[in-house]
Amino acid sequence: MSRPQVLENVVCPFCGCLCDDIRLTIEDGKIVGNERGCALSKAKFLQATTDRMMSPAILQGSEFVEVSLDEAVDRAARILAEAHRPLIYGLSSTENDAHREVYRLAEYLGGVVDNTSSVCHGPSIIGTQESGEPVAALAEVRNRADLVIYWGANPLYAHPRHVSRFVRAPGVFIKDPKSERQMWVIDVRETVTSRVADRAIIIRPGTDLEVIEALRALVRGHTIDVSSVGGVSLDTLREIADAMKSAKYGVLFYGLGLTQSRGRHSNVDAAIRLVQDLNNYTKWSMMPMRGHYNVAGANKTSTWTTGYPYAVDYSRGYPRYQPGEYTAVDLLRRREVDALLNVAADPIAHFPRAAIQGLKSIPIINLDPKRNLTSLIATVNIPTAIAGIECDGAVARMDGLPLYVKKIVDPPESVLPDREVLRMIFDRVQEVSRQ
Amino acid sequence: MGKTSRDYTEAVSVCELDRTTMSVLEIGDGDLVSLETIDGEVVVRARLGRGLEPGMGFIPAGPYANVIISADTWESGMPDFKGVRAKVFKAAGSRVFSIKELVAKMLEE
Ligand code: SF4
Repeated sequence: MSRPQVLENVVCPFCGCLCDDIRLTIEDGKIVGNERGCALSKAKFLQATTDRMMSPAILQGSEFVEVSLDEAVDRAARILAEAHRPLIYGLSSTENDAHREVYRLAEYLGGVVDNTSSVCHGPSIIGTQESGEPVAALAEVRNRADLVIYWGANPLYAHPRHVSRFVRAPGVFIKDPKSERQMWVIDVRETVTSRVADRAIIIRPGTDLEVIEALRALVRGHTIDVSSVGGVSLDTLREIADAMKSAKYGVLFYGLGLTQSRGRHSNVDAAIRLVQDLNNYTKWSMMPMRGHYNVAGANKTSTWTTGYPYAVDYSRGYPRYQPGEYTAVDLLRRREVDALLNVAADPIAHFPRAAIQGLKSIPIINLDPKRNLTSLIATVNIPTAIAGIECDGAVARMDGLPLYVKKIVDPPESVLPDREVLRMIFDRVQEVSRQ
Repeated sequence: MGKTSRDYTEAVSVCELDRTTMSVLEIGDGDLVSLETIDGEVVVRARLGRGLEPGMGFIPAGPYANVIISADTWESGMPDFKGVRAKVFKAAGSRVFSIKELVAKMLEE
């Protein structure tokens, strides 16, 4: 038995916080210890080897038959080469070099490429395209912010160390975060985060836009002729507006409560304008609480490569962008695609029924390290290495900071990173199309 | 926890309801309830949710919620994952489908 090895400052490839201070213990090629990581991080690292897809497999009738990687790649390539309108979807839980291969493949096939942000923070991106992106670095939040508001977000549940690393931690100008920094939560219900906040404001579901617009009016000094908005009394709204204006440095973190509810991008657009208004008086910035560890990276690589952050259609040979048209849920609901290549996502677990029905009679190629719901019905399953544990790569944190994730242990035998499998599929697609 | 695990199924096949709704409909913690929307119907387990307003329910994101939400995105790419109107009925005598059954059923219809 070899001596346990300790690795410091490992980046956690789970959520958009990308905590880069994890201490791992490796013994006999296995991760046996995770210090500093939250429960989600511990599960990700310590259970890396459980529930894996062990071999490439092809669905024959109702049975999966294990095949060699070459056979699986050949089948995948033939499916894609024959498709008229293939969709490539996912990308948020893999690293940037895998994304690069995906765009190359989409362009070659004349297909559509969409990432999971279309069902999480896509509306945030539409909002920023309308009104700009008043983003700050997370370190700046820790160092300077004296008022932090989480709106429609529950970080203690979804980003467990966000509060402890950036809000309740001391920074250069905030020596005592408990007394010098206020943490408020605005949500439609009480949450684990709202219970530990300095102040929690509950609004009626679906009224985010009204509440934001009311705050904008109050910040600008207008009077409002109602006694409450979204279930919040005018006095409380006035207090919030005043506190926002008199903060030295405010930060608005927002979650799916804004992007998935009525109003969607209009909610985000209005919030950006509120932050712009506040900047007439003091310093404010805002940031989406990005969920999957590299979903922010998927938007970046897509923008660098195609010009657009998601929902990109190559059917005319050049990239076109239109959420609502080239977004995965819409394409599937309209039964428009005739093949799906799913990379590091799980549409069967996350799409509404009418979209899932669009997958009923089309071939699905599924690349993922683990068994998931999509793997249950995929035509071709190809296991891949876990980025940030079994292969390296570049990823982007929720504030856009690029980080390098390391290879910690070897992947299971003959399992390759997404980028290599995608490269093999691309090469084979070219061969098949030439034939 | 893997998505094919029992833990995952148990975590996502629930609907949190507030105390008032539960007492009016005579639903106990852990009872089966049927949720109906214009888009579908699904049976899950009721749980007493903390901090919910009367009339509000909460289902974790996952395949059970997906059965009853619309795929219309209002030209945004984003379906209505939140703020969906639903009816809640007591569903004693029925059962919660396994995820495999649920997916098969979704694909069949
Ligand atoms: S907060 Fe997110 S990135 Fe940090 S350790 Fe937990 S799961 Fe990993």
